[in-house]
Amino acid sequence: MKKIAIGCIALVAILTLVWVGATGAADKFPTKRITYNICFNPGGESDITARFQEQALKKVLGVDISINYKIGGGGALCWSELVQTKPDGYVIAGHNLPHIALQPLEMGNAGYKTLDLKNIYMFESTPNILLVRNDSPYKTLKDFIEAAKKNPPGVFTVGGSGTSSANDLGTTMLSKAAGIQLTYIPFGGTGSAVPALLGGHVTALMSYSTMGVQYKGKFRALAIASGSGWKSSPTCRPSRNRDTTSWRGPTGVSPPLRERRMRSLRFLPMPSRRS
Amino acid sequence: MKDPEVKKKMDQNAFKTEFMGPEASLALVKKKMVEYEIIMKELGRIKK
Repeated sequence: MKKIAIGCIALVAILTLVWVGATGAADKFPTKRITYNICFNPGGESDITARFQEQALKKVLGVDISINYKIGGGGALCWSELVQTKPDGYVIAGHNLPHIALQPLEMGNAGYKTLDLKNIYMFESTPNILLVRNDSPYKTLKDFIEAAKKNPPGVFTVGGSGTSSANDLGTTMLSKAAGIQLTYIPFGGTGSAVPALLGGHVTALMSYSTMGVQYKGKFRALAIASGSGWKSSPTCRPSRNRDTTSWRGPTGVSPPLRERRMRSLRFLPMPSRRS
Repeated sequence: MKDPEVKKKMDQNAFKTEFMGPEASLALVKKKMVEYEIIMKELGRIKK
C-alpha cells in the first residue's frame, strides 16, 4: 500500500513538472523566428500589408518575422500547407476572405477547410475595382459593357488574382449583372496580373482599390464594388451589387495560448478606422 | 492603432483599415460563408 502511495505521489510530481514545463514553454512563446507565408505573388495587397505588419509584429513579439511566398491555386496551396504544419504558432499565413470561404465551396477538396484556419485578426479590406489602361477606348463602364456585347461572347478578357477569389467572383457577378460573357484569366496574384494589363494582354483587370491608386495615371477605374464612388476616377461607377470586398490578416493553426501574444497586437501601433 | 505613419501608409494605398480580433474575424467568416454559398448557387458555380 505504501509503495502504491509513493508511486502515486511520484506520478503526480512528474505530471506537475511536465505541466509546469509545458506552461513555461508556452508562456515564453515565441523564442525563435516566425514564418509569415504570403499566398500570392510579391507586389500584391497581401504582400504590401504583410510588409506593413512586419515591423509591428517584430516589435511586439521580439523575434524576426520571415516573409515567404507560397503561390498557387489562388492561395489554396499555401493554406493547405498551413493546416498540415505543426500547430506551434511558428508558421502563420496571410488569409484572404472571400477566398478561404469560396475555395472549399467550389473546389470540393481545396486541401483545407475554411474553419481549419484560425484567424488571428483581420485589419484591412479592399473592394474590387474594374481597371482598364488609360489609353483604352472604354471611358466608362457603359462603354465597356456595350463593347463586350458587340463582340463575340468571351472575347473580352479580365485578369485577376487567383481562382475562387474576390476578383474571380466579381468578374462572374459583373458578367451576370450586365448580361455579357467575360473570360476570367487567373494570375498568381495581383502583382503578376498588373503587367498583363500594362502589356495589353487582357482587356481589363478585376483588381483592388490599392492597384487603382498605385497605377493612377496608367490605369482608369471604370467601376468599384462598393456603395461609394472613386475619387480618383470621376467616371468610375459604384456598384449596387453584392459585396465582394476582400478582407485580410494573418491566420494560423495553433492553440489559442500561442496566439494570445499576437492578439495583443491590437494595442500596438496598428491601423484602425477608429484611431 | 495609434501609429499615424502606418495609418497614413494604409490610407495612401487605399486600404480600408479596421481591426477585428479572432472572435469578430471568425464571426465575419461564418456570416460570409453563408452569403457566398447563396451567391455561388445563384451564379451556377456550385450545385443547388
